Amino acid sequence: MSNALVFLLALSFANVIATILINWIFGILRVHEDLKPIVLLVNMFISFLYYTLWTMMYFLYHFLENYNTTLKYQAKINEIKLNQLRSQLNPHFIFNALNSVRALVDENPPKSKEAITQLSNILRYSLIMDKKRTIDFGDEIKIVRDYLDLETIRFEERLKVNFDIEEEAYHYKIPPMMLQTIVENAIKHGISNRMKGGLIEIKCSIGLAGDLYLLVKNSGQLKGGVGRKNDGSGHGVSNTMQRLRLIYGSKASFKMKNFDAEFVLTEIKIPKQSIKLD
Amino acid sequence: MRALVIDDERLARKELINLLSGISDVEVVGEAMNVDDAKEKIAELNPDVIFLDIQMPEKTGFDLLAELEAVPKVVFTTAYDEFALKAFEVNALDYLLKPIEPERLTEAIAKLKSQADTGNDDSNEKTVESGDPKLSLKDQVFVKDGDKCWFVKLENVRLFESDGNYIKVYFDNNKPMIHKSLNALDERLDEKAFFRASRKHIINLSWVEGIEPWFNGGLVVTLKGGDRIEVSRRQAARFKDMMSL
Repeated sequence: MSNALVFLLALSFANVIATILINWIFGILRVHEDLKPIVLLVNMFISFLYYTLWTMMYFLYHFLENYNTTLKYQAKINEIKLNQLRSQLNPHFIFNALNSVRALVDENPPKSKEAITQLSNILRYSLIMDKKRTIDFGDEIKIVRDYLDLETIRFEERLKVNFDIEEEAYHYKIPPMMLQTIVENAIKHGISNRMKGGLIEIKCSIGLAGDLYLLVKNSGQLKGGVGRKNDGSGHGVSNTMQRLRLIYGSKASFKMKNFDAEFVLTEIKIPKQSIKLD
Repeated sequence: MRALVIDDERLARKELINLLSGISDVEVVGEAMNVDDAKEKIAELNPDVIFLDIQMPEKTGFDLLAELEAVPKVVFTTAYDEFALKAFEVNALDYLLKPIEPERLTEAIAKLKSQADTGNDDSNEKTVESGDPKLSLKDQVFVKDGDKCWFVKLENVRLFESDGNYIKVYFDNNKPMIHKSLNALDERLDEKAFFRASRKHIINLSWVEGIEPWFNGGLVVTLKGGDRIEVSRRQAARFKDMMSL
C-alpha cells in the first residue's frame, strides 16, 4: 500500500516536472508564476488525484472481473467437488458378499440365486446413480434393503435389522448412496467390529416443518470425537457433511451421537422440497 | 499338514474348509471364530498352518499374531485389504483373496510344503502353553510397529535393546518397538543363542564378530553390521565362561 503511494507521488512529481519542461521548450513558461511553490504544489496535488483515481478505477475493474469469474466457476467447482465426494461402494463388502454367496451355493441354492440378483442390483445402482445429484427416496431404500439382506447372509444371527418408514418419505428426493453409506458405517462399527453383533434400525419420517429425517441407529458407542481419521469412517462422515452442504446449503444437517449406553444414532435432515433440485 | 481356519464368518470358514477338503496334504483340525478362540485352539491343537482372516471383531488377525509367542505358518485370507497387506514389507508371506481361487490355494499349500521341506524347522515343535519351550533361532516372531508388520526369524535379529517400557528389535535396517520388558523376553529366549549383555541389551551370539576388553573389566562386543555393545562387568565373566567352553 505504501509502495503504491510512493509510486503515485513519484508519478505526480514527474508529471509536474514534465509540464514545466514542456512549457519551457515551447517558450510558454511563465517563470514568475509557474515556479511559485504554491502553484507547483497545487499542480502536483491535481496530478496526484488524477493518478489515484485512475489506479482505483483500474483495480476496481479487475476486482469486478475477477469476482464475476469466481462466481461463474464456483458452480462448476461445486459440481466437481460433489463428484469427488460421491460415496462409492466399499470393495470389502463386494468381495465378502461374493465369498458368502460362493459358500451359499451348496447350502441354499435358491437363496444364493437371490443374493446374486441383489448384489447385481447394488452394483448397477452404484454405477448409474453415481451421476445424479439426487434420486427418489424409494430407489435408495430399495438398495439399502438389498444391501442389508446381503450382510445378513454374511453375519447371520449377528445382524438384526429393523425398518420403520413413513409412506410420505417416498415423495422426497435424496442424494444417492448417502443413506447407504451411513448404513455401511453402522454395519462396520455396530456389527462387524463386535463379536456378538447387534441391531440396526432405520427410521425415515417427516418432521413438523416438512423436513425429511433419515435416522440410523446401530449398536455400539462413539468413542472420542466423530470424524477420527484413523478408521476411515471419519472420511465418510465429513464427505456426507460436505455433500449435504453443497446440495442444500445450510438447510440440511447431519448429526451423530450416542443415543444411550448401547446405541449410536445418526441423523440426516433433508429439507422440505417445494422446488425441484435437478 | 494340520490346518486351523480362523474367520469370524461361518460361511467364509465353510467355504475355505470346503476348498481345503479337496487338497490331500491338508487336514483341517479345527476352526476358530475370533482371536481369543484362535489362541485357545492353537495351544490345544498345535496346527502347522493357520488360515487367518485379518478383519475380525474387536481384535484383528494381526493382533492374534502379536499375542502369540511363536507363530505357526500363516496364510492370510482377506476380501480386500490393500492397506493391511502393504503393511508387510519385508516378508514373502502368503495371502489369499476371498473369494479364494482354488488354484491359488493349491499353490499356497505347495509353497508351504516346500518351505517345510527345506527349512526342516519342524523338529522343534512349539506349543505356547505346555512345557514352555524356549524360543530358538529357528522360531519366527511377529513384530508390529504402528502400521508396519514383520515376520522375523530370530536368527536374523542381532540385538534387543530396552527403551522404557519397550524393546527395540534390530534386524536388517529396521528397529521396530515391541511392548514388552527385556527381563520377560530374556526368560523366553534360548540362552545358548542369546546373551544378556547388560541391563539394556540382549545380543544374538551368532552375530558376534569381535570382542575387546573395556574399562573396569567389562567388554565391548562388535556385531556384524557394526553395532558395538558394552557388556557389563558382571556379565563379562559369564560371557567369557560361555565363549571359552
